This record gives sequence, C-alpha cells and structure tokens, in this order.
Amino acid sequence: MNLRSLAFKNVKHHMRSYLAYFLSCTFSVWMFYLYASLLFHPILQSKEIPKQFMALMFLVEGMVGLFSILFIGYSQSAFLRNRKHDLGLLQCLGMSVKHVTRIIFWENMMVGCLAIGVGVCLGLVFSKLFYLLVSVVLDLTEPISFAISFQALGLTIVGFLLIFSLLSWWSRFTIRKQSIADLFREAVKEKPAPAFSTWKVVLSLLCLGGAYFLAWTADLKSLVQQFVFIFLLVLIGTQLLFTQLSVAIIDYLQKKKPVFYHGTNLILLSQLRFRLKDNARILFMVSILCSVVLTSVSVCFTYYIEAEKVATDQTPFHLSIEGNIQGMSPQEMEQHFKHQGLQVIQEEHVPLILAQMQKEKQMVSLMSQSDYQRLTGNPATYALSLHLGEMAFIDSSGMAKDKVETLSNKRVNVKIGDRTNSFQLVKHVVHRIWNEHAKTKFFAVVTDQQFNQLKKWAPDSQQLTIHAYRFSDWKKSKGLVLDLDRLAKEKKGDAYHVQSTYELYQAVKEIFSPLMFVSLFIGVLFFLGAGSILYFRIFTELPSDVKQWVVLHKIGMRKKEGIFLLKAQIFLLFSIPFVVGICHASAAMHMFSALFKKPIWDIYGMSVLAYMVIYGLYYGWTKRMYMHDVLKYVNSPQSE
Amino acid sequence: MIILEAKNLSKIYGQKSKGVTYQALTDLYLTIHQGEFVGIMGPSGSGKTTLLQILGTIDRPTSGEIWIEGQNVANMSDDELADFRRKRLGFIFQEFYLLDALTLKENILVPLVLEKRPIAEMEQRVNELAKYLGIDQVLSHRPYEVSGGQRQRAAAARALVHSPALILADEPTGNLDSKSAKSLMESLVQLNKKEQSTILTVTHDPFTASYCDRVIFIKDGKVFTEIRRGESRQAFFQQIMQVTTALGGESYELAKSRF
Ligand SMILES: Nc1ncnc2c1ncn2[C@@H]1O[C@H](COP(=O)(O)OP(=O)(O)OP(=O)(O)O)[C@@H](O)[C@H]1O
Ligand SMILES: [Mg+2]
Repeated sequence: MNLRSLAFKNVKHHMRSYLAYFLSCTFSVWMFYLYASLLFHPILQSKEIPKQFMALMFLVEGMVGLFSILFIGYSQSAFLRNRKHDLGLLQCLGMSVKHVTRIIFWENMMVGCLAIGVGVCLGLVFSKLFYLLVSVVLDLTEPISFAISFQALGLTIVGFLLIFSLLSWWSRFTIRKQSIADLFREAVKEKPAPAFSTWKVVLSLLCLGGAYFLAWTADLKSLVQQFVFIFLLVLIGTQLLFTQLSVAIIDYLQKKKPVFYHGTNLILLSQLRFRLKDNARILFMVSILCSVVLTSVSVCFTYYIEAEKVATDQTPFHLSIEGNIQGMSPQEMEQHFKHQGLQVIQEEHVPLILAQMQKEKQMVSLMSQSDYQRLTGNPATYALSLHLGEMAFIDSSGMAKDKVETLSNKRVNVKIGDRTNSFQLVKHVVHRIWNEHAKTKFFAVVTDQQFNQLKKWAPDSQQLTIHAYRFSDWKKSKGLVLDLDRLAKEKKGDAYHVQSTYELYQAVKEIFSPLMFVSLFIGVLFFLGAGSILYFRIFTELPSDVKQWVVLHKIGMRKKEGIFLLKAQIFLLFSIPFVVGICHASAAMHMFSALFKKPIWDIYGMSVLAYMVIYGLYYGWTKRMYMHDVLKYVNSPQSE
Repeated sequence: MIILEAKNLSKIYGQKSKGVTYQALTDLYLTIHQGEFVGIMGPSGSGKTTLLQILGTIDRPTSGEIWIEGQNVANMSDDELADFRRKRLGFIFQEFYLLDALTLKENILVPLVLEKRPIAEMEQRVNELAKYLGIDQVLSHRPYEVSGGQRQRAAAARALVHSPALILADEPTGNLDSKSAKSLMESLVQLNKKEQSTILTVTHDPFTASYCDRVIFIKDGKVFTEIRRGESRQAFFQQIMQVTTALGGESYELAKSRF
C-alpha cells in the first residue's frame, strides 16, 4: 500500500463530507468553462455583441475564478481541521510530516481532478444551450454557433489544476505549524461557553434597526448618498446578530426554566449556544450572500420585466422635445406622425421663460399656473392657487418621494432680460408631471397674469417651448424617435433634447437583460457554495453527535427524540441565515423599487420561492445524508 | 423481593449467514433482590459488558428471558424500552459519558427533563444529590472544568436522580485514581443503604468489588462462582483476590495498602 492508495482510501472513507465540496467545485468548473468558451468564441470578433456585455462576461469569469479560489481554499483548510485527529495519529505511527502532507496533496488532487473532468464535460454538453440563452438575451438575429474552444478548455483545466495544487500545497504549512500534541487536542471540548456583552447586543439591534429604517424611508436621492452607509450598518448588525444576539437569546431561553428544562430543549439549546457561535462566520457569510443574491436577481428581473412600467412612469409623455428642431416645426411633426402611423392622443406645447436666479446663480424655468394645472391633471393634492407675486418650485425628476410642502418667508429674486423681479416662494411640490429635459430640471410656477407680463419682457434667448406628445401606442415610435435623435444630434449636438418613452425602455432593457442573465448564474454559484459550506460544517459535528446519541439512547431517549434533536439543529443552521437573508433582501427590495412608486413584490416573491426550493432541496439532501451517517455509526458495533 | 431475573441468557455476536460468530454469553442465570449491591467480575472478554448491556435493555439477547420488576423485557417495543430505561434504570459508564455542552447540573437533570417533571422537584433532587456526593460547589461547571472524580460523581448523580429501580455501572472506577475510587464507592454504598436502591456493577478491581454485598464471577460467558460478603470487608477482599487469581487474573498484593 503506497501513499496514493492510502489517500484514495481516505477519500472513499470521507466521501460523504467531500461530496458537497466536490459538487460545488464541479459547478464552478462548469460555469468557468461556459463563460470562458464564450470569451474565446470567434463571434467575439463580430460587432454584434455589445462591448458592455463582453466586459460583464469578463467580470463574471473573474468572479467565478475568485470565488473558486476562496471557496476551495476555505474548504481545504476546513477539511484539514476536521481531520486533525487522523493526521495526528498517522504522525504518531511514525509517518513524517512530508508523508502526511503528501497524502493530503493526493487526496485534494483526486477530488480536484474528478471535479475538473466532470465540470468540463458538463460544460461541453451544455454550451450549446448556454449560447442559445445568450443569443436570446442579446436579441441576436442569428444564434451563436456551437464551437469547442481549445483555448477555453486549456484555460479551465490548467487554471483549476493550478488552483487545486497550489492550495493543497499551501495547506502543508498549516500542518507543519501544528505539533502532534496540537493535532490531538480536542478543541471543541475545551471551549468555554460562549458569552455575550449587553452593549454589543444593543449595538446590533441599533445597527439593524437603523439600517432598516433608512432603507424603508429612502427615496432615490438619499439612496445614492446612503447606500454604502446602510450596507455597512447591515454588515455590522448581522455580524453581531450571530455572535452576540444569538447567544443572548439562547441565554434568555436557558434562564426560563419551564422552557429550558422541558424535554429535548435542554440539549438542543445548550448545543445551539455553541454551534451558532462556532458557525457565526459562516452564517454571516451565507446570510449576506443570500440577501445580495436575492436582491440583485430580483432587482434585475423586476427592471427587465417592468421596463415598460419604469419607462412610462419616468416619461409621462411618450415624446418630448425641448425647443424647436430645425426643419421640424409642429406642423411638419404632424406629417411625420402620420407617416409613421402614430396616433396622437394628447399634445402639449408649453411655453417657458428662462430666468436667472440672483442669489443662487442658477437658471430656473418659469411656467404659467394654467399650464401647470393642465399638466398635473386631476389630483387636487398637487393643485396650486397662487397669488400675484407668489411662486412655487416644482421637482419633476421622479427621484424623490411625492410631496407638497408649504414654505413661508422665502423670497427669490429672478432676473429676466435686464429686469429683476422678486417673488414670495410659497410651495415646494415634488411630483412627476412630464419628461425631464436639461432646462426643466429646475422649474417654478407663477400666476398666468405675471407669466404673460414677464414673457413680454423676456428676450427670445430666454424663451423656450416644450413640445410633448402622447401616442395611442408608443411602441410604434421607434423609427420616429431614432430619426429625431439623429436630427437633434446633428443640429444641436445634444441628445437630451428628445426624451422618449421608447428610448428609456430600450435603455433599461439593454442594461438589465445581461445583468439578469449574469446574476442568475452567479446567484446559483454562490448559493451552491453557501450550501456546501453549511453541509460540510454539519458533517464536522458527526463524531460528537454520534457520541451524544449513544449516551442519550442509554439514558432512555426515544429514537424519535434523537432524530428530532439532529433535524432541529440542521434545520436551524440552514434556515436562520436564509430567513435573515430574506429580511435584508426585503428591505433592500423596498429601497430599490423607489423608481416604481410602489414596491414590486411578485417577482421578489417568485425568486424567494425559487431559492427556497433550491435551498430546501439542499437542506433535505444534507439532512438525509447526515441522518443516514449518524444512524449508521450509532448502529455499528464499535460505538458501543 | 426479586427485582431482576435473567433466565437462560445467551448472546451470539455476528450473523450466522456471514459465518463469523462469537458466543459471548451461554445459558446464564442471574437473580438480584431489591436493595442489593452486586458486583460482577471476570477476565477480560468474559462477557461482562455484554451482560450489563443486555440487562440494561440496550442490547437484546439472542435467546433467554429478562424480567425486571416483574416485566418481561423481551415483549417491549423500542420506544417502550426507552421509556423503561428512562424511568426505571440508571447507568454509570467507565467513560463518564457526560455531554460536553451541558453543565454538570444540566447533565444530572437530563433524565428528569426528558420525563418533563415539575421544575421544583428537579431542583430539589439535584441539590440533595449533589450535596450528598460532594459536587454542589461545581454544579455550574462544565465537564472539562472539573476533575475525573467529580465527573464520575456527576455521572453517578445522573444515574440516581430519577430514583431508578436498578442502577447498572460498567467499571465506574476504571478511570479514577484510588482515592477517588474509594470515595465514589463509599458514596454508592451509602446511597444504596439510604435510598434502598439496587446496584449492579461490573469491575476489574477487587478493591472496588469488596464494597459489594455479593460478587458474581463470570468466565467464558457463564457464571463461574459467586461469593458473599461476611462481616469484614478485608476478608471479603482476600476472598475476591483468591478467586481472581484462580481465574487467571493478575494478583493484587499491592492493593492491600489501600485500606
Ligand atoms: N459488538 C460485538 N460484536 C462482536 N463481538 C463482540 C461485540 N462486543 C463484544 N464482542 C465479543 O464478546 C466478548 C465479550 O465482550 P465483553 O465486552 O462483554 O467483555 P468484557 O468482559 O466486558 O471485557 P473487558 O473486561 O475487557 O471489558 C469479547 O470476546 C468480544 O470480542
Ligand atoms: Mg467491558
């Protein structure tokens, strides 16, 4: 029996705990190959594939690679810790450190090579389907043809071989650092009972509460400013949640004798106290991964599917033109519409006056009250009844939450031509009334009478008309919009003059379809990784669970109760991070759906459900495997 | 009153179909009365642990009957056996078998907690036993924080906490130094007197065995002989030594100094 066959026996013996790791490695290789084969595909030379999409693919490839390195590295060090005892024994039996490390190396390489082989085969089999998906996502007229890329194949195989061998070579240093005595010492037993500190518990609640409050009240503007801060709060809060709050809750339950001294609760709670804290880092990682993945997948999906709604919400008018484009007078426009088969159901031609604000050194566009009233339509909430000399600021960017604010004692001086007018600022209204142009970012309403007067004073250069149209079917406006865009660009060199629903719709789709595609793959990858780390952690407890079972069985615990104890622990380890992840993701979803006015829950619900199914399967599988193993050891004669 | 009766007990390990079988117990008879303190001795591999596990309903005999408190154990289902063990039997093992995550007090409470007894009763019982066994100071410690002797006494308290009809101990002093062994055995004897509990203990150590009322010797899965204690423990010890030597065990000359 040489070292290699010993390693082979070891792998066979530890097969179950290696299994999840193996599957995750295989999946990483598989994904890596798929994206690599796309990157090396000859179609890359063609112009049809957008540059951003390729950049995204590179990013994904990088992430899969990075994920693999971290995941494999983590798993290998975890295996090693788990097998301390074995390795210590081998060393006691006179095996040199060199031999032990060589055994470890061979074990890792066997699993690694198998994962590479299976992963690449899966990649080859599924690449046709993958290309088809990419073609659909990119709206390609001709699907990407199947091709085996030897470069991709080489990169994947050599890359992963390197990762596996370097990381397992690296692990020899951790073995070398430990003396045999260290290897034998049972760390688990001698750990003191996890404690918590009250102020950290309070801090954790404050962080989470604060983050949720901010996320719940945020609008698009504050979102951009506070995003990093909220994310940090969530990270700190979640970390403390698992290291401190969990212990505090269990401590509280343990102090309640009627709960604690009741059947299996005694054992379950005592064990959880240790296991939750031991696994805090993993639970933290899994819940953050879970929430990030859930949020990004559902945000991307939502925006993709609801692109229409986003577009129509953000552009109340299907076409809006700032000023006049040469050779495109309103009459000529009519002709154009007819030509394109578009039926206009509403059109507005709103005159504006550009005024210079004196103190603020900023331009503001003035609008008459009757025009404003017509644009807002019916809702009385946003109606204005201004008096002479009064003015109301309107924010129509759609970035902030709708509101009407009454102001007092605020004067604004504006300069029109060479006259200066003073106004009393009475209201601030936040409400989307039309499409946003460069010059309507900031505008105000004055009475009709005053507007007409000012209009007389204003020179031509300070006057402007916005032409806005609503069609019966805006989706037909593609040709028109592209024409106008081209014209506007040629004449004025500024695309912001034409604002259309169609363009926005197209832009949203273009951004979110590859994102959706990519986030789905990455999501599944992360999820499998998280699941397999949990799976492995649970298997680490096998010896102590077996021992406990044997003791309790002798004391007279029913089999049912024993099974309940194990299942409850596995269930909690799986479900706690998932529930925490869902909570975080819900808050994030609420935050990111600011653009829709109201959160879109159906797609989020569906992705949660889908993940629940995947996760549930993983949980069921882990539970089955674990129970099977525990019962096998319990029933085997050695344990008696 | 007879508390335990084993009739015609045999145990064969391994499956006939697989060829490798081992007869660990052969036609063994055993009767134990209420309140007795009985020791079981015999060379290594003679089937002591096997016997104890079968009597403790952890393992089932290949043939034969076991009656505990007038009930035939063979007729019970697994769940009934578990309930029976929890209510009527107490175990002390050589390896202590305390749960590491629990404090000594919680460990002792396990049988009562599984029974879902009233809390006041549990507290009272634990405190009483702990004081008696001299571990009341370390009740809130976890097993690795206390000495081997204290651990074994906690294990004994766990075996006694629910006032079982029969206490089964497999080499309870096997992992203890002579001083701890002595104090544990003395505690057990006193409890045996005070609570009228019945104790059956397997041991290799003649000194430990000398605390018993009666010692049964087993050889090759059969009862070899049985001796009863007279007035003096020292004399009983000598007797045990003689049988042990006759059975081919090593002699314990040195052990005399332990009295
Ligand atoms: N699960 C088992 N399967 C097969 N054979 C067993 C099993 N358990 C015990 N034996 C065999 O039965 C015989 C009796 O074992 P037992 O453990 O009862 O001995 P013992 O008297 O307790 O010995 P010791 O004093 O060394 O503990 C031994 O020869 C042992 O090899
Ligand atoms: Mg034995």
